[in-house]
Amino acid sequence: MSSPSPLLVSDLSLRYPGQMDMALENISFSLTSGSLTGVIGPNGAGKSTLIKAALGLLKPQGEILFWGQSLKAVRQRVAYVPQRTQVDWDFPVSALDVVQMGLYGQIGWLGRLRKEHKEAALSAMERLRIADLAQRQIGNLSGGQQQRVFLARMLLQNADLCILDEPFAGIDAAAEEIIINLFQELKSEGKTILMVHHDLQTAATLFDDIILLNKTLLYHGSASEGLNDERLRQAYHIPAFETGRAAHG
Amino acid sequence: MDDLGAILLLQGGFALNMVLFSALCLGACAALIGVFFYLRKDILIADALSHATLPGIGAGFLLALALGINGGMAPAFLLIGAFASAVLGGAGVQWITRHTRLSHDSAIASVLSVFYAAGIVLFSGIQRLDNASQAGLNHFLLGQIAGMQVHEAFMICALSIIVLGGCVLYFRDFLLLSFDQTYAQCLGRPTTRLDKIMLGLMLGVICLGLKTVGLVLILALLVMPAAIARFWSARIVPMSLLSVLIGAGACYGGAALSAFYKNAPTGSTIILVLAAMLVFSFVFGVQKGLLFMKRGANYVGS
Amino acid sequence: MLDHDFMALDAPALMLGVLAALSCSLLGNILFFRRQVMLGDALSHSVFPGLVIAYLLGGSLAPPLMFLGASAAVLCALLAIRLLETAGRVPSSAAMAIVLSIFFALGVFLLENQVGGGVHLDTEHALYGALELSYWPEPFTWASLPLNIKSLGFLTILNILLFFFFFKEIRLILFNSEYAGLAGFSPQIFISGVLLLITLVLVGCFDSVGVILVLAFLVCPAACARMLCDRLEQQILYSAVIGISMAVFGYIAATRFPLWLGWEHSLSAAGVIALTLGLLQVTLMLWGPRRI
Repeated sequence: MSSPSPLLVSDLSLRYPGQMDMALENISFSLTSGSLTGVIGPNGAGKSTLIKAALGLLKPQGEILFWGQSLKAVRQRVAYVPQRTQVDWDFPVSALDVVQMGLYGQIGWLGRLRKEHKEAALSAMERLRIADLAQRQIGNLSGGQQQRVFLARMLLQNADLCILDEPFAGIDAAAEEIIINLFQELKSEGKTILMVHHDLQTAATLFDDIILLNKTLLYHGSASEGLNDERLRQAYHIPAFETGRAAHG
Repeated sequence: MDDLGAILLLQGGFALNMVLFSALCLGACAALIGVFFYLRKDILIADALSHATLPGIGAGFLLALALGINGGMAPAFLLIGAFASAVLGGAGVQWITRHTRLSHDSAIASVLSVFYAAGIVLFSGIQRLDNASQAGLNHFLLGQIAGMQVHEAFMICALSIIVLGGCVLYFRDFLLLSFDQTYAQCLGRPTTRLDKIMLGLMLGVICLGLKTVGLVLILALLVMPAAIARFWSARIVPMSLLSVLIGAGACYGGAALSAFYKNAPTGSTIILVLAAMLVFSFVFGVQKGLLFMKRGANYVGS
Repeated sequence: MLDHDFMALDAPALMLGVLAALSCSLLGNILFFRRQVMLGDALSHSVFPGLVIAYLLGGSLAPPLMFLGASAAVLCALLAIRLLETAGRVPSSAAMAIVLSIFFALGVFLLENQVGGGVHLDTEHALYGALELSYWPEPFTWASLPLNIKSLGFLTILNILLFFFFFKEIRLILFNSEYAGLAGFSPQIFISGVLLLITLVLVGCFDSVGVILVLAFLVCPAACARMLCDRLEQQILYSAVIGISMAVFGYIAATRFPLWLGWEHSLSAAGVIALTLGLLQVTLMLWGPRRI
């Protein structure tokens, strides 16, 4: 390999304190630079847990390297978009405030926000067509608009690896299209994207690569080849005759 | 009364035995109703309600004083006042959580502190009234068991029977309500009414415990036995029984200790007994005590 | 108005009330948005045993000793809550309730059992608040200004500086602490610092405001401001203004209103301040523009 992978996970295992079963067991994979990878699996398979563990939000066993280094050294190059349900939508911040948070890491402790920061934030919002909503309190936005605020924050950070938790959950079709276009643009700029996704139907067309997960890693590779009946049956624990239906809805 | 063993074995005379028995009953029913609120992770509502009794006590005192009853120290007036203002406080918490954007814990904190403040303002006015009997009001803050009257003991015993009966009657409903309120609603249980019954029973315990352990520390009698029992059992029925035993035992033992050492205030003595039990259970409890946790982890890891 | 009595008796009480209200309303916002207001209650109760133990060990009521003992006790309480939550897996609300009760009970027990009466360290101040007992013997001289005003003043300045210089970090951590960690702002370090500051402020408020009434100072200004605006900048500013103005209004109401009504006594000042804060909150919950 010429340059180290944006994210290399080896032998990652994790058990939530006080629980008997492992949440994740012996997961190893490495992302290809410039690829769009989806993490797929049934409910409770540990999809969100996997990305949280990779980002150090949980404390797993195993090794996690970003471009061959620890997360601490390359923090600014990694962006994270949390699941929408984990956000306190009643918090008193405007959409612009949230987007500007993407620059906080770069500005550092004690640094102040300047005019050029605001302009950069507004242009990121423009790219997602939400610049007109800049002054609105985030709770007053629709689901799709809220998601785009968080994507604008990610965009503003100008990270090389973007990690997203269910960005398509609970949003409208128009927003979905804007977001999909954004992913294609980011890919053409050479950025690597990893996201948790729950819709099997769109997975094959959306992603380059697939990580199929159910506590253990069942498959990592090309999306078009990966989603066959046998593997899905294994992941979702369903008898043979039902996989057709599961794959379509 | 210089032998602790004799006190514990009910050799200390009628007055003391009555105190011990009342403490035992109070501890038992507080521990039982506390289990449900502990499991519901909503025990701090008890803190709000107990502090919300204070303005009612003050108002009851002033009303009785105005009517010329016993210089204001009329137990019925004080109790009814306490109960009424705590009901108002409970309704306040519910209204704030439902009708404003404030979270449950801010609602609890606001009601607790503002009702308490109203009580303190009333008390500060009463203190300046030059009335001989007002000194007794201070006992509602930190409690005093020694001067317990026969009718108070009777009231505590009667209440214990009501609380015990209520909990036995509604055991499944309370359990369901504490564990999963939405599911209880789906099953068609009258959750709003059950909720009120559960809160009402707890409020009864608080009002009667006020004079004994005081409004600041009554919270401990509700939460600590349940927390201790949880270290020993993961199942609801044994946990509840254990909790009752612990609550009753600690109150009995604590009251006896404070009768033995003259300078030991009853409420805090009981709580320090409970604290000792908690520390012991935290280390040795078979369900999730420190010693047993480690073994469990190794077992899974290997 | 500025006669000797006013400067000697009312001025220090007013200063204490305003400083306590200002620092509590600023810090209260942090607890409020982290949904940990009741932690403030648990910590303020645990100041009490710290004072008693410090007195028993040190044998005097010297302010530095009291401060040290109280801060140590509050930190122990914090650790005990964390230990119950993590190692014991006790629900966080129950952990706070347990630690609060044990610590306060320990304070009451030791005071009655070991210290006895006659020492100027009693439960009444902790329960009632004693704002009106502060006294400035020689007005306008720095040396005779009561020590707790000086220390609370210093803490208030520290507080204002914190909110001025770290506003960006406060916003990020309160809104989304996981993301803050990923952006390189450790929420653990920040929150530990804030808790330390809260501890010191609670110790400073202990015998002037009282352990329970201080909770109103922490939660009510933040809750009031929350009914008025949707930006964190405004939220902090409004809560500070509300804290200060209600402290002044409440103190005047407690000490002057009864006199105007023809009654020669005054009411508990800390109590009336907390009550006015509460009444303002009720008003705003009913008619505030952003109440829902």
